[in-house]
Amino acid sequence: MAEYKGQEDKACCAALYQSHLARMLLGDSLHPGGLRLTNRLGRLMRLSGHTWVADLASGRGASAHAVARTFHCKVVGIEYGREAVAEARFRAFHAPIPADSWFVQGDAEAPPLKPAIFDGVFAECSLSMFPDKKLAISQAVSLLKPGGRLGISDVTVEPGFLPKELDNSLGQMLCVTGALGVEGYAQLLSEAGLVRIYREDASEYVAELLAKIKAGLAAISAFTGTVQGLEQDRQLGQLVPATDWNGLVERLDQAVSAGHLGYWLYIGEKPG
Amino acid sequence: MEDSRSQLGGPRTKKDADYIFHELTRSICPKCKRVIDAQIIIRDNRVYMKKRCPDHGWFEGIISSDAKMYVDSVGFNKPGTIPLDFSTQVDQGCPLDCGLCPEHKQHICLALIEVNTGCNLNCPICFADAGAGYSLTLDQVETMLDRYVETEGNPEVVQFSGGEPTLHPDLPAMIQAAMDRGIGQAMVNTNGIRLARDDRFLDLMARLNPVIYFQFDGLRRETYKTIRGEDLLDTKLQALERMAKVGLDAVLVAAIEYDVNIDEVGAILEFGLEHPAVRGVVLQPVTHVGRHIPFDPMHRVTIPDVIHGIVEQTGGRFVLEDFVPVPCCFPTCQVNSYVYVDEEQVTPLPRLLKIEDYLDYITNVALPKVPDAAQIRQALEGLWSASAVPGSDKTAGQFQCACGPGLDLPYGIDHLNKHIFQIAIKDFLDPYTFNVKQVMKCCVAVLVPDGRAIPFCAYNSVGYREQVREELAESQRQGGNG
Repeated sequence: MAEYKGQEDKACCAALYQSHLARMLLGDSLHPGGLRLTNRLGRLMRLSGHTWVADLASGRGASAHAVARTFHCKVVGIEYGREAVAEARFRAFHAPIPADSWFVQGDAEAPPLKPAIFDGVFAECSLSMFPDKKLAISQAVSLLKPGGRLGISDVTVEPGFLPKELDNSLGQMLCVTGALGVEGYAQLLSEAGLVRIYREDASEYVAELLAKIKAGLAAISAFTGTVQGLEQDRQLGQLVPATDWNGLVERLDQAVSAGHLGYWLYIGEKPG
Repeated sequence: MEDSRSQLGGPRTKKDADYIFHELTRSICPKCKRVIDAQIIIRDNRVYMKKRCPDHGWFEGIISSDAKMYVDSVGFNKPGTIPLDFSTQVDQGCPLDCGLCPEHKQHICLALIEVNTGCNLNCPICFADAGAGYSLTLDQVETMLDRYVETEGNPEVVQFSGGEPTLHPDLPAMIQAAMDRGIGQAMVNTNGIRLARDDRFLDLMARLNPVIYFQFDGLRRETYKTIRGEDLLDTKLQALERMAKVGLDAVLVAAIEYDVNIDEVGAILEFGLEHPAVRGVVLQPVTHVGRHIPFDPMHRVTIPDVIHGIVEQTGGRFVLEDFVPVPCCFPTCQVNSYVYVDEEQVTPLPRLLKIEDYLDYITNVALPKVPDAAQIRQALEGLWSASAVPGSDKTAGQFQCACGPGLDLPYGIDHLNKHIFQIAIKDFLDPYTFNVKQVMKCCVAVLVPDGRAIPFCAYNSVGYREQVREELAESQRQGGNG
């Protein structure tokens, strides 16, 4: 499994997520299950009114806005990509229904926030992308008040089962390159000192996302060269080697059925 | 003895009944709502429901004007999906334990939230009997949405209705609340008056972008005077024009009644096909619940009347086979069709693909031997579902997949969204046609603040609506939240 270390890779990853291609393939909510799973994660974290919550790698802010409005809490999003932060702020300002959400540019492995002030911290489909997961988790835990809850939703890949054509930046974009196995995340939370660790299988949403990606790829192949926005992704095209897309989606589907690839939710509590 | 026998006269010959006994089911007495047995009989190629209440005697009403169509639809019935949680227990039996109770045979494809009972019209026809009553709070609606998410896991559609929901000051926040919870599609069921007149409201709706379930009963002024009590045609056309301008997608919803607008179904469809804001039409035979004009239960519009109406009034554009029963609910409740519209060309999906090969689950146990047959069935199940919303990405994606082998569609989802047109014909039950068998597999439910989800036709016919309304109105009179 490739290791992605250093600021350059982190920037590359953020760029991938800001790209038109990612948006076309994945829509607004860049993780399996979309806001449905965000909502589930929030419920499992027992978010409630007037609490403070941090969203690590908040992207364009879709989850942070939704969580703030749904649970009537205050959400601070932390995101590495400057463009995404700007867009999240813009959206917060122009939202038809306002939300208590703010966005800061920063590295989730060294969050520019005061420690021990949050009742909840969540990271959706982003822990798998952090080069140093232990550091990221310990930083997230440090943001929590005693008794606060950490919520993680992420791609799981059982060790040794990553399809080799995904051991590259494409795999990184699909959150699979740095993904851990189902046990791996639980262990990570436990090692960070969290207690009452709960996990829930949401792998059915990966199959759903794969179907969406498949439809998106078909649309893109029809549109190639005609959509202006895609021109900006030329650089991305060089990062993503030519691939038999449908075959790949098929293999990923099989991996989900076999339990080698999945998506899980984890909750852990900081001892009080 | 001999004398008396000769007085009776005539040969002792057995006679045939003038009907075929099709099945026995359960219904309610239209007068006292008591649950009673009901016979489904076929006479002169028409299907009737006949039933007897011990206190109120016999009742009979037509349920389908085409027995062949009715009987042929039986195979379009797929196994139901069990919801994650139920809100009531089985006690008195269907339909008195709603809901959903653990005996229910299907999850909810489409949930309705009636946010208020007040309206800016006073239509002679209104299944909801709009008027004084209650107005839900945002808190109540959020709790209902949370419960919907809890029972469904991944709820597909929520439709905000009333009364007239656009009069509710928190409607935008309610739509946003549904979207924030990841509910696939929000819809607003409206008469469109506010969309026609209020610029700020129109702009807000455009930004939230729900699909507008737009009451549109025809293109004749007289139709509106009869059904809505005033001439609304200009307002309707203006609302549609404004929706097109801001990019809101609309589905035209027409209540169809004999001697009013049954002769307009073709015109409504043709109008919808050409209008830039319209993604589909829903034609609903008038439901004789709530407020309605006097009617004869033996002479009411049924699904085949609407299908025949379309075929006859559209000059050969459509044929009977273009309309296929929906298998997620009971197949006699709804038929759908989809067309691909490109310039002047209108291509119904059932011409490209034998839908019955995929959706007649009883006759065709094995799937057709074509590549991706399972995916095509899945896509068609999505399209032939009460949760299919024209104008949504999901519906466009399903159309794209279903069309794979039949039509070369080199287009993206955004393009398809604007070129796929849905036709749905829904026959809701009233106390004369109420069939427990259909209600038991109903996938359209009304959410109520206490957490129940009550199948739509049970809500309207059995007495739940009156009960819920009274309770909510009473608690609001007392200053509580219900």
